[in-house]
Amino acid sequence: MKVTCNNKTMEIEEKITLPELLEMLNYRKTVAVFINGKQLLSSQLDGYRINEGDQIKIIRILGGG
Amino acid sequence: MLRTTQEIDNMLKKHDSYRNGCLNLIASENFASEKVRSYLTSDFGNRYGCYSTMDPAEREYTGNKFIHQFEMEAHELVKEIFKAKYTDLRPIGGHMAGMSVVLALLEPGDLVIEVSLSDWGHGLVGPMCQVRQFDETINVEYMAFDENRAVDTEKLIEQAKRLKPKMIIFGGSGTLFPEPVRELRALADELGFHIAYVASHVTGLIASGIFPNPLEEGADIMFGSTHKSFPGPQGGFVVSNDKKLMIKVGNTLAPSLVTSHHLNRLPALAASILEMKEFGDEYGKQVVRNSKSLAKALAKRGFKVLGEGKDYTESHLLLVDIGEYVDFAPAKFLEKANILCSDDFSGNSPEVRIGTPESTRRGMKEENMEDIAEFFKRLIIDKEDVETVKKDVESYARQFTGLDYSY
Ligand SMILES: Cc1ncc(COP(=O)(O)O)c(C=O)c1O
Repeated sequence: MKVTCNNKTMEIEEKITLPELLEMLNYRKTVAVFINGKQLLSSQLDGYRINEGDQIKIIRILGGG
Repeated sequence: MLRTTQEIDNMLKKHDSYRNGCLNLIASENFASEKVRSYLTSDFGNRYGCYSTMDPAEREYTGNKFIHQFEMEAHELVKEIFKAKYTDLRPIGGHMAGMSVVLALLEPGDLVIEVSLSDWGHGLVGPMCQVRQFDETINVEYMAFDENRAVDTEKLIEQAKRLKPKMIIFGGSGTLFPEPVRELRALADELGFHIAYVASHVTGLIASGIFPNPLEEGADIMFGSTHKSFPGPQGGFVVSNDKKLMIKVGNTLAPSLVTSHHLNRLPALAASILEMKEFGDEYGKQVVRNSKSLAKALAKRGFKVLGEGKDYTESHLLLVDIGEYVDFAPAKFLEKANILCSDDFSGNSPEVRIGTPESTRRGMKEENMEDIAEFFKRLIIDKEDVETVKKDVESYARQFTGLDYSY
């Protein structure tokens, strides 16, 4: 299915979870994830199932700015 | 596992030697003088100095006669250097200082406008809202930036009128230009919101007078770290001219957020303020000159340096979009060549943040910025072998192990 991630359109497998997507994209550090403009709670990250057409924005949080 | 103190010494020696061979361009770090560092080992570091807000003489623990005196003297220095009536030095870092302000001054359901993580905000409130307790209490919106990476004043005014926030927090980890604090003051009075300023990054520039002092520009409260562009020990502070706000902040800090406030920071902080009073003016000017020179030197070599329309930067840092040359976050790659800096948060089009405080303190001037820009070009544009560049970077960095603007 097609989603948009950080402004790039990409094709991903159906049923992929957010942690799997993050791993696929090599995000190992703490991130903030916005789905269709709404920020997910950290407790929602693990179980979140991505849907067709989701606009995903992943921002790495630089601890200690 | 460490077995002897000899092993500890060896590790620290290795660290020092490694860091002396690195070009440190991390904007949130600095090099404190030996004098400042030496105070961190004082007996204060083993004592409890908890006190009642606005009544510091009322210390909970006994044995604090001189600690109390010292902390009050340190307050005087901080108040003088930031031109503030009140200060609280209990936050042990800039983040805790910011948390205390946000938690003290907002009510559940209030809205904050801050700098987004994607615009190099520190994200004081945004990341907090990843935790349900905060998400259900604080609402956050982000201010817009213009094409030069300066806050878009018109949009912010329109946004504030529309959303009626309870607080606007200016400042972030990628500040290039002074923010429109003055321009928002009248609206803050009219609509009744607070203007807070995260000075973590630009504290040293404010103290040196080269960057506008947000309190003088109309901010209600300012807070930050004492170890980024300000060359002190790691720590935090809050300052304001408003006693009521400081009481709320103090009562939130202690005992909710901090009990032992790492008192060994205070003599070190006092020494660094004395240094800044003597050398800060010269230091601040050189930091900004170096940032501008490095920005120009990089632009000349083909890099897309942000803020071009406003002469790139008025601060201790510059931002470079290197998406044209690489599609990965560059900091870990640059580290292989002993260049230390920070890459951006989004992984979109890679941006690198380059800071000049430490290189300036270690003696670098405008002409050295050409050499630094050349290292970046060799690595990122010319794609020269990393090991070869690393050797050159290391021998270059080792020429700058002195320390200016300090005792
Ligand atoms: C804008 C900003 N605020 C707060 C902080 C946090 O400060 P500290 O690391 O001193 O807690 C940082 C970076 O560390 C920062 O960049």
